[in-house]
Amino acid sequence: MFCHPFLVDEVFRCIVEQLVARSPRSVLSLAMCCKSFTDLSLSVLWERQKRLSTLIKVLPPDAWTYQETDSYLGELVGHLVPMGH
Amino acid sequence: MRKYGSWMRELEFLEDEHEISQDVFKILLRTPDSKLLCPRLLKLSWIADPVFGGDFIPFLSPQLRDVRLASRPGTQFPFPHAIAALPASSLESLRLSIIGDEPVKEAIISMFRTFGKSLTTLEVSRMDQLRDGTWCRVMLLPRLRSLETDQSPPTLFPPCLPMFFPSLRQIALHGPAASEWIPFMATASTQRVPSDTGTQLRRAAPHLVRLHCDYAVDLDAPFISHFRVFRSLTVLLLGNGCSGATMCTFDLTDEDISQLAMELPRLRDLSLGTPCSRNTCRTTVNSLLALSTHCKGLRQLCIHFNTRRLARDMWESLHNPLRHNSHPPSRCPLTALDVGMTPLTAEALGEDTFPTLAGLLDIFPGLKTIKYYTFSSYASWGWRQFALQIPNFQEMRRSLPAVFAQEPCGNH
Repeated sequence: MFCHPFLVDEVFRCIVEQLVARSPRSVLSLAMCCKSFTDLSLSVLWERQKRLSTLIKVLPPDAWTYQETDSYLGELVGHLVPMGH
Repeated sequence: MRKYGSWMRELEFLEDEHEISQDVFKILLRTPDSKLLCPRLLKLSWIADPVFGGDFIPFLSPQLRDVRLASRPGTQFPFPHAIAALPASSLESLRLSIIGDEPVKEAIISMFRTFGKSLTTLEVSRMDQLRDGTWCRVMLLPRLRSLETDQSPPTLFPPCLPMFFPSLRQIALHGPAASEWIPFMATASTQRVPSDTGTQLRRAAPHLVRLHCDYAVDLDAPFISHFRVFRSLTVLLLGNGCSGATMCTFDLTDEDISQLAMELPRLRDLSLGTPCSRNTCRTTVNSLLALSTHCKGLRQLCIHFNTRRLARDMWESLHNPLRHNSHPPSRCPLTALDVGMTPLTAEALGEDTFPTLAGLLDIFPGLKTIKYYTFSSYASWGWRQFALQIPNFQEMRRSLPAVFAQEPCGNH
């Protein structure tokens, strides 16, 4: 009986872990192309986070807003603030 | 959010992440402990800014293995309760670079008390005056392999501690306290402690392989003699104070270097401070010869040696028994020699540079590069000639092996 490697979670994870180092964007494409790939691909993408704001921004859009506070060298600077504050 | 948080294993919070307001952290802090935001987080790096979110409690998972906390220079770390909440018993790596007031220091000292047996890496910097008792506690960590600090060593360590740093492999010392650590470790190593079979000599760090001290130390015979207890060292990198001083602080002789080479035969990388341009040191090519003969694994070297009469020194070294200790002579596989700002003028080399270069390549047969600073074309003339000639010489040696095997370079 043949079992496709993509159907074995451990094998698929190994493939994604190899891929994420070379091209995270490709892993994102993989996550979006098929529901059965989504969770595993996203979990590998989320393992290493360089910014905390990425986590805040997954909250529903009505939970936070971006408040402009200042401008620096012609660029607007602002904060992520909870909605209603 | 919890779903994404549960996938996270590593998180960095950098000081430039100003786009998150304090209110967000206040809300995150309301998260009950039983529902951590990142329950499987293993590695947390937090460069705290007292204004923008220094409170990382919602991210302290019980599985954390690697934590780095730092505060911006000139700012205090205002979150003692967050330090107290670190899962100290399961940590493997802890890097602290924070300035704190008394409550913060108390929290850190309290955390040191709860360290378990798992900690393998500890970096402590910018925390003025850790208490002696705290250091003694740290020294008893059985698995500690890497220690990096700019703090002073304990001055009142108990005389009968069972063992110091039993697993320590590498130590990095920064700041003025660095020069205090080496005598401290050497003293601790030569201490005899009571055991079941009488007194026994205990080494402070019996497995130490790497020692890096970046502070300018005065390199003299008493200081260098401390290293004889670290016989397993393979990397020894020391700073020296020549660059800004009015006179050269490198005060070692050929005998000192020869002694060091015999006591540390496993050295692979040795740096005894960046050589200065004064060229007043007492070491000569005989030091290079001793290192090459006794340290059979030496690959990189940075050392002061006097080049005022290099050609003559090289000629005189022919009488050194180490030049002919065996046939072929026993030499290290050194590939890179760093001579820093050491001058090598045309006068020092004489009319023909070839015999001196041949002598140097007899000492270091595998030499490929000489690193030198070009601060004056007059002073670095000789090194430039050597750098140009080394590839040709090595190529000649490869193509005519029989000639070089019959008559070792310089031995005529």
